[in-house]
Order: sequence, then structure tokens, then C-alpha cells
Amino acid sequence: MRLKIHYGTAVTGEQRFARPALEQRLNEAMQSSNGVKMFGLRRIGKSTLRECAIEELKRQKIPYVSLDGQGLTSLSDFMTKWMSLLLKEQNWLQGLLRTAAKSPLPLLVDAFTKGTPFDETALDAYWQGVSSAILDSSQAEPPPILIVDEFSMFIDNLVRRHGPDKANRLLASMREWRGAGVRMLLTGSIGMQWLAREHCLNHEHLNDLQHFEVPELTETEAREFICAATDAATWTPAHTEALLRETGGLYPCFLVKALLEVGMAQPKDPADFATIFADCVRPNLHEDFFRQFDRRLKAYAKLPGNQYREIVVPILKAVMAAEEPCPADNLPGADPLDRAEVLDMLKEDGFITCTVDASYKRKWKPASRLVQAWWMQRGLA
Amino acid sequence: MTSSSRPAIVRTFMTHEMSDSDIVAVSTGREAEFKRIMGAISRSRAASPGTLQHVVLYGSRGFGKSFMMRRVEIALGQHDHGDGPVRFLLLPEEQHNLQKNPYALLTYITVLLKQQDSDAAFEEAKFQWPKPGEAARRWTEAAEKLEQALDHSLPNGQGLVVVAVENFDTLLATLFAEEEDEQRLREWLFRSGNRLMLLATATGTVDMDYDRPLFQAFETVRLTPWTTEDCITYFNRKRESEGKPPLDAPQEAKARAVAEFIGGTPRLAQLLGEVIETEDALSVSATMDALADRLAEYYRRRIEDLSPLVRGLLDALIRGGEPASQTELAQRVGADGQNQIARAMADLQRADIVRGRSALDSRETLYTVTDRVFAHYYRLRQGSRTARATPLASILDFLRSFYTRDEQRTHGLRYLMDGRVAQGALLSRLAMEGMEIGQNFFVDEFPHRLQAYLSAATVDFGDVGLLVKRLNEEPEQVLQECRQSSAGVEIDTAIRATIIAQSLYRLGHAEEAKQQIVKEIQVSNVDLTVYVILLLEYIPFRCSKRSHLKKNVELSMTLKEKELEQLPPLLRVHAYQALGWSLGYLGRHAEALEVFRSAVDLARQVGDRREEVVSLRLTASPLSKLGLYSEALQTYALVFGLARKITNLSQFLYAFIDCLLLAQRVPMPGISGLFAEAVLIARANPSLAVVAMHLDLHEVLIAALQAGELDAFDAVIAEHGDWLVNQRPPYVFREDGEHLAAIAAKDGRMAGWRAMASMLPRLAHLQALTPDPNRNRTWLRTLMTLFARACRDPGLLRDVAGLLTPDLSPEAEASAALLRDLARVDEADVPERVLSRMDPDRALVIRRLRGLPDPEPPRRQGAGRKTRR
Repeated sequence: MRLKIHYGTAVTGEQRFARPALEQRLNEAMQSSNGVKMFGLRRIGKSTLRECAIEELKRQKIPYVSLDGQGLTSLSDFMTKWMSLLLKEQNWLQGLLRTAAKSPLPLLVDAFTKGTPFDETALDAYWQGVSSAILDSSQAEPPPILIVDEFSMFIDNLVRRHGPDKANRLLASMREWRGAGVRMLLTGSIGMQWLAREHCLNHEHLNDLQHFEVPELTETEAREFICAATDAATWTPAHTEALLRETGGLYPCFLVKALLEVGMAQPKDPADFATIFADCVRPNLHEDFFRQFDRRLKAYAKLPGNQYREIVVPILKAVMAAEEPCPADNLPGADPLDRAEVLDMLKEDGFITCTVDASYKRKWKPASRLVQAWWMQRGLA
Repeated sequence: MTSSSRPAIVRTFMTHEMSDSDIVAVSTGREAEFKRIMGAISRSRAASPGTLQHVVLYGSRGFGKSFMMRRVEIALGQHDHGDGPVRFLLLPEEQHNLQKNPYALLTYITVLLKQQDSDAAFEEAKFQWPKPGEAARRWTEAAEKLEQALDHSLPNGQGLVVVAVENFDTLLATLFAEEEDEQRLREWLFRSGNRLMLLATATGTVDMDYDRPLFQAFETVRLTPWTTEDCITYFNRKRESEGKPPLDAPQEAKARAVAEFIGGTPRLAQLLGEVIETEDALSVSATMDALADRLAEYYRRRIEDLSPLVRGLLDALIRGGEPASQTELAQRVGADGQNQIARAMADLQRADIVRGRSALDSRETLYTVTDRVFAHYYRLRQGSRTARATPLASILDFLRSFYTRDEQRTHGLRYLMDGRVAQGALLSRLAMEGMEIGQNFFVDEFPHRLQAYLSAATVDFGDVGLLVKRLNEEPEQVLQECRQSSAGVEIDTAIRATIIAQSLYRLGHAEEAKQQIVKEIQVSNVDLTVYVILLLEYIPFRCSKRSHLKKNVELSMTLKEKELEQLPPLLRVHAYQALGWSLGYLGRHAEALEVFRSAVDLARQVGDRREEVVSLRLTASPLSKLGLYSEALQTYALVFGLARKITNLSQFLYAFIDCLLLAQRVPMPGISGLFAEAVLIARANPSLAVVAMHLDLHEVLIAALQAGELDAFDAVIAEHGDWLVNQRPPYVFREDGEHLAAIAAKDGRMAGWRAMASMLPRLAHLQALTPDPNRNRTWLRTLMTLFARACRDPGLLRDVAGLLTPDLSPEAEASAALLRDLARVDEADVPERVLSRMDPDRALVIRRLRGLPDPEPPRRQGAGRKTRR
């Protein structure tokens, strides 16, 4: 078994299933832009892909710092974490501290290094100065790439603790920093479009980042995945076929979950897979994921005006029902701009995805087998 | 204290107190789950330091999560760690020191890592007052200290520590309620270079909530309820570990009942295992009570685990009665429809509290609480009176499957006789389920007999009507009162014996009922009154058994030698009725008539119209038998008149059925009118259905024919035919054929032909009315066979054969051929000539009908053997 399977979080090394084309695309996107944003459904492999990007940065000796947005609740939390990681990049940090001598930034670094108390209000008061200092320093010499996992969770914490203004300020500053050369990779399992709508944040602040989507495995990849995770002595093609037939999604986490339930070293009889999925997998795992779609759909009902009934639902119905990817022009919605915004929202929330043809026309289709399964199960078709 | 009230040993399931060998010996039915956990540990060990596989073991309370933790601990202890050590840290089941401060969990693990073997850990891991604003810093510090402890604890810092945290869902709710705290926890769980694997157990959700940071962060393993086979295996393993033989077949049947009752909850299997050894139902109940008591906390928590709506639904299910469909439940709680409660029902099922089974008679799924001890507990705690007053009542469904019917009956009787009447009655009724006592003479006529007995009583037994009502409604109470009373003289004791017998009979203890009377007969052969009372009670008891006619006649005939004049008049009437009936049975109709007439006179004297009408009715029978037809007809007229007058409907019906015997021979004017009246009475009084069941339509038909009242008969059938054929399928008796032949013999061929022409289409019509399974397919052949035997008139035989058209019955053709051939045989000078050329089967029938000898004598024995020369 070449693949040591794991369930629960991002994986690397022997635990990771390589998706070379996708990884290559991410690396190229990272290098050719201000950075990449990767928001979408949970447990679909974003963090694993991020880890993979980090490996590539290491290989190319490109400096980076990586922090986790989970548990961060304030600007000072975020800044402390970032600065503490920059301690190893002494040159850049010293330059920054010199530039920002009059701001609370040195105090913040002190607070971290010497354990002295630090007051969030000071950072608030002098934020403009801090932000400008970072901007100036970055223009002089680009800092290491900033990678923030669960960035949207942090923004959510920030908004709930301190209100949307502070979050908007940070997002605006970050955009300026990127303009000055701070490249970023922001990932998160809460859609930023949705957060922005919910808390009146300005989602334009993230527009300069390239959107990157993690698709399901193709069937071929899924077969390879299963093959790599199982022992050829006991696992037969019949097992693979039965598993692919039963699984609701082709994201790695669904395959891992399925493999754990049916057993890998001594798998159960393929004839029993249907029962195992019916009793153990679908009622739990799939249901948990389906609830996500339920909630999002319910949240759309609160959109202003009659958007839910007039645009969102008709578009979803049209895309879900179409046998071939659907050109945007053929979709319901009178105002093309309005329609485009709704399409983006549905995309970020994992309902639909698109391909772009040579004439830059987007063609829309369901985002995954999972969302199709949900659509069917909920009787929406 | 008697064994009956001593609960079987009840111990709380404390896996932490069980020895390793006990754990291994009794572990059952969890191999797949165990392997999953060990597999995850093995993968974590291989990945450590790195991204480890954390596991959460889900299971309802009592499903063996703690047990599994111990099993893992033992297995890890036995593991040969060639690839580096795996240390297992089991946090105490409840962690009250861990409140508010998330970092306390890390500190606690650190303390345990450092000082696992001394009590210092207990003291050091005490609660710390939370300091707001320092959560993040303290968490980081605690995490660092834990890393240091891991460095020290693991050789060269290499290896794996498995931390088992039970009730992790509760811990999450108390320590990590704030989202950012849970985020920190997730980040910590998946930090790089991790060497600490979390093995959590939970009842409620840990990783299922999409909006929580820990969403799908674990490999989940679920403990499902035990199957019945798992329970049996467990019981046998336990017995083996205690040096006992495996369950034998009856014990296994009981074990299955236990398994079913506890809904596959392993904890209960452990606690209730002792019950299998118990013979006594009350001690089973006491054990259940003790269990419900001991498990109160457990059940309370299971209920508290549910959200309010789900809890409400459970309440409605138990209070409103199980099983119930979702639609029915929705109605019960006033929801708009099944849709509204679907989610809550799903939660109830997911919590393994209710289980649905498909209803066999519809497409519905019916839901019950799987763990019956839980249902019992719920009823007790929610103030069910039945549950408190009759300990067995709330575990009825258990008793139903736990004890065989014989055991239920035996226990029931024992409790009744021990004075635990409620329990006794309950088990007795359980044994009678589905075999309720039908109406019979012993029970139905008791009020009248009792009236007679009480005329001889020396103490006050109260109102007969009330007493009988109580006998029907609460026989166990009447039984108890009679058994406790000793007032009065021997006669009163005998009356009480009859009442006791009636009570026991109504509770399904027929044999014991009989013994009550027999016992008294044996001790009281002296006093005439006592003897008669007991005899009068004994005879109908045996009647209800049907097969003891001769013995009954013999017993009743003993009354002939007694000086019945000494008896109180009403009792004497009953004695005469019994004696007269016996005389009639023996064919001594003249004596019977005399005795019945005395009964009529006496009943008139005491002014008991009911006994008068009964005695009169009985008088008509010997009159008919003695050929005194006109007097018999007059008597019946009196009976009907009196029965109408005193509105004794049952006697009216009995008289009608009785008189048919006479009316089939002698024209009885008005018989069809009586028929119409009888049908209306029976239809209006379901309690008299039993009498209607004795009504033979073919007898009524012949009586109507005799009386020339067929049109009136037809009118009754037109209106009530469907109902009538459903009370008793219309039969045709062979004697009917004789009756018809007798008409021809008496009034000539024309009359015989007319009678047959009237009868046949009517009998066919009655069959056509009858639902298919109850139809009598051979009615025509039955009728024709004895007609053919009795009728010696070839012309009539041919005429009747002409009446047998195929629309009457598929047998018409064969019967017609028989009659025609019979006519030929009857006309022939030498019948054998005709017979020899006839269809051999029919020839055989004709020989039998006419008593002709077989053509060849039966072959002698050995005649077929040929001797070879």
C-alpha cells in the first residue's frame, strides 16, 4: 500500500495522494499573481493542496510564513502570530521595525518576544501607521509569502468580536500590501463571499487574488487513489467498482471514509458494500455534508428582494438539470451582472462550477457528485 | 424475605473496576470496531511524529464505550512495540476539574504523563479560576509544556501517546464552547510533528456539525446495538468465565426475551443476565425496578442528551402507547404532519432509543422504545399509576416473551393463591391472551344458578347482579374476598367454592376451578343442599368440556335417590331440571316429563318466571318424544308467549331451536313467523350470538316446508340471509333426505316431488350466499344419498332426478345418474343383472343403499398365492 490513508485533516508525504496537474496549476498561479484565494467546502482537500504548495516553496527556497487563522480573534493576535514567524527573517523585520518605530509594532514584537503585556487598542489607534510601514518595507523588499489557513474563520472571529469595520480595515490593508509585493495564499472553509454578504464586508478587497478551486478526483484518479491505498492481494477490481458505485463524492475524504468502513487490508465482500454504505456511510458522512448545502440554500432565502426565488433557485435548477455544461447566457436572470454575482456565490459555496472556453465564455455545471446527490436526495430535481 | 421479593443481584457496570481478564473474557460482538481502533492506532504510530489519526468512538450510553477503552488499553499493554513505545493514558470518566479553561485539558494530560502512578496527578490537576483575555497565551504555554512532557516521557522523544478521553462531547461543550477555543484545539490536534493521538468517546456530536471547527476531524467508529445473537454469546461467555455450563434451550429462550427487552444495550445485558436464572416473575419485576432505580442517572442522562422537541416526542410515544407510526405520533402531538416530526424521529433513532419495525398489515413503520427497561423507568418516574401499583404491569411485554404460556399460567395461579391477586390476575390474563373463554353454560347460566344457591345461604352474599358483574370485571378481587371469608355454615362455604371456581375459570384456570368443586364434593357428601349446589355447579362445568355427557347423566341420576323435597324451592327447580334432562337422555321420557312438570309447578309457586319458562321448554321435549305432538305444540306456544312476556330473549331463541326438531315432523303453524322473530332478536343482541350459532337453516327450511310457510321463510332469507350464513354455514344433513322421503311416503309422490322441488333451489341459494371457504360442496350428494335410501318409489326417483339441474351444484349430474340407476335397479326383477352392467362405483353405492350383497365374496386368505410345482 503506497498510500497511508488518514482521515481528519491535511496530509503530506506518504499520506498524500499526488494530483500533479492540479498542484502544478496552483504553483503557477502563486507565481504569476498577487496570490491565490482558495475558499470552499470543508474537507475537500484545500489544506492538503496548500501543504503541497508549501513543499514546492521549500524546494525552490522561496521564503514563506504560514499561520493558522483558527483561534485568532483580534488584529493583535494576527499581527503577533505573523511577526513572530518573521523573527527568523531578521533583515526584513528589522527594516520594518525601523520604519514603524513610532507605531506600536515594536511593542507588539516585544510583547511576543519578552512576554510583556500588549494592548489591542494601541494597535487600533495606530493601525494606519502600522499598515503604511508594512507597505513601505514591502515595496523596498518583498517579505516572505504569507500563507494563512482558515483565513475566513479568523475574519469571522474578528467580525464577531470587534465588528465589521476592523475586518474591513485589515482586508483593505492586506490588499494594499499585496499591491506592494506581499504575496499571499489565503484558504478557508467558510466562503468569503458569503461572509462578506452576511457582515457587510467589502469583498472587493479580495478581488485581486486568483480564485483557485479544488475539484473532485476524476474517476480515473479515484481508481488510482483506491489502488494506492489498498493491498492488491486482497482488494480486487470488483471492490473498486462497488466502492465507486456507492460513494457519493469523489473527494479524497469520501474515499478514505469509505475505505475505512469497508476495510482495506481485509476488505468486506463487495456485495455487502451497498448495505455498509446505506447503514454506515450515507446516514452519517453524507448527511453531515448535505446539511451544509441545506444551510446555505436557506441563507439565500434571506437575500434582499426576491432574488432567491427569481434568480438563485432558477439558476440552480437550470444548471442541475442540464446534461451538458450550460453557457451563462442560457441561464435565467435579466441582468447579466446580477447573474454573474449569483453564479460566483453559488460557485464559492460549492454548488456549481464552470469551465471557460476559448472565447472566455463560462459554462456552468454541478460542482460535484456530492452536490448532485444532495439535489436528488432533497427532492429538488 | 421470600425469594419472590428478592431482586437478583444488580451491580452497576464499572468497567474501570473490572480486571483485565474479565474484560477479555466477556468482550463480545465488537471485533470490527476494535480492529478499526487498533488500525488507527497503528497508523498513528507509523506516522508519529506527524499527522496522526484521531478517533472518536460514538455510541449511546451503555453501549460499551468505556469497555472498549479498557480493551484497547489491555491490547496496547500486550503489544510488542518493536517500532517504539505506545503509551496509553486513560483520563477519568468524568473530569470535573476541567471547567472553563481549555488549556486545563493540556495541563491535565501533561500532569498525567509525568505522574501517572502517584496521586500527585490527582492533586496537581485541580481547577484554576479562569482569567479572561489570557486564554490564548495560556493555551500556548500549556501546549509547550505538554510537548516537553512528551519529550521526557517518550524515549528519545519517539513513540506515540494515545490519550483516551471519555465523554468528549461533554468536554467540548464545557471547555471548548467558544469557537476560537475549538479552533485552537483543532490546530493543536493537527500541529506538525504531533506525537499525541486522541481517542475520544462520545454520545453526542463531536465532529458532525459543519459549522464547528472540528467538523470531520476524526475517524469515526460507531457502536451499534447488540444483536440478539451477540447477547446470547455474551451470556455464554460470562457463564463460561464463572464456570457455569452454557445456556440450555429454555434458558436461551429466556435470554432471547432479555435481549429483545433491552434492545441490544450491552450494559443492560450485563445487569440483567442474572434474571435468566430466575423462576419467579415478581423477583424479575423487582430486579427491573432495582435496575430502573440504579440506572436512573443513566437514563436521565440519555433523556437529557436529547433536544427538547425530541424529548417531547419520546414522551408522547411512551405515554400515548407503543407502538405508533410517525403519522399517528404527529397527530398525537398536534403536529401539522409527519414531515414536521421526521427530523426529531430521526434523532430518536440515531440515539438508538426507538426502533421502527414494519407493520405486517400495512406499509407503515411502527416505532417502539428499544430498551424496555428504559420504558419501564420512564413510566415509573413519570408517575404512571399502573407502573407503581402493579409491578408486573409495566413489564408485560417482557413477561409475555420471557415466560412460556404454561409458566405464565402456573405463576399466575400461584400468585392468586398466595394472595397477590393483582400480579396473579395479570399473569393469568397473559396466559389467556388470544384464547379468551368462549360463552358456555358454566359461565353464562351461573347467575341463575347462583340465585338458586343464595336462596339457601345463611349469610348475606349481596346482590346477585352486582356479584356477577364483579366476577366478570375483577374476578381476582372476588376470589380474594371469598378465600378470605369463612362466615356462615357449610352451605355458605359451598356457595363460596362455586364463586371461587367461577373466578378461577374466568382467569383461565379451568382445572383449578374444577378442583375447587370436586374438593368440596368430597368433603361434603352429607348435607343434601350442599351436595346439590356442588353437583349443579359441577355438571355444567363438565358440559363446557362437552365430552362428559354420560358421566354427567350418571351424576344427575344420583338426585333421583335424594329427598329433593327438603331443598329450598328454587334450588329444587334446578335439581328437577338436571334430573329430568338425565332421564330424557336415557330415553326415560315419561319420567322426565313428570319431573319437568314438577319443576314447572314449583317455579310457578315461587313465582320465578324465568325458571318457569326454562322448565316449560324442557317439558316440550319429552312430549315430542312421546308422540304427544299437539300437547308439545301447545307447550311451545306457552313458552314463546311467556318468553315474550318476560322478555327472556335467550329462552325464546333456545325454544325456537328446540322446537325445530318437532316442526320438521309435524306442521307447526307460525314457524316462519317465529323464525323471523328469532332472527331479529339475535341480530339485535350480540350477546345472544352464541345461541344463533346453533340455528340450522336446513332444519328451519324443512319446518317451513312442513308448515307450508316457504314464502315467509324466503322473505327472512332475502332480508337476513347474508347475516345468517355468516353465523353458521348452512349444512345439509343426511336426515334431511329421509324427511323428504317421509313426506312422499305419507302424502304421495306428488307431495314428495313438490317438497323436493321447493327444497333444492333454496338449499342451493343458501350455499351461494355463503362465503366461499365455508361452502358445503357436497350438500346435494349428502341430501340425495339418504333420500335415495329411504325412497322406494322408482317414479319419484326419476322425477327427482329430473329436478337435478347443473345450476344447483356441480354434483347434480352424478346424483341424477344415481337416482335413475337406482330406479332401474328397484324396478328390475333381478337387480344383479342391471348392476352388473352398471358403472362399478355407482353399483357399489347402490348395493350399499339397498343392502344388496357384493357379487363376489371377498377372496380367501392366501387364495392369490400360486404354488410353483
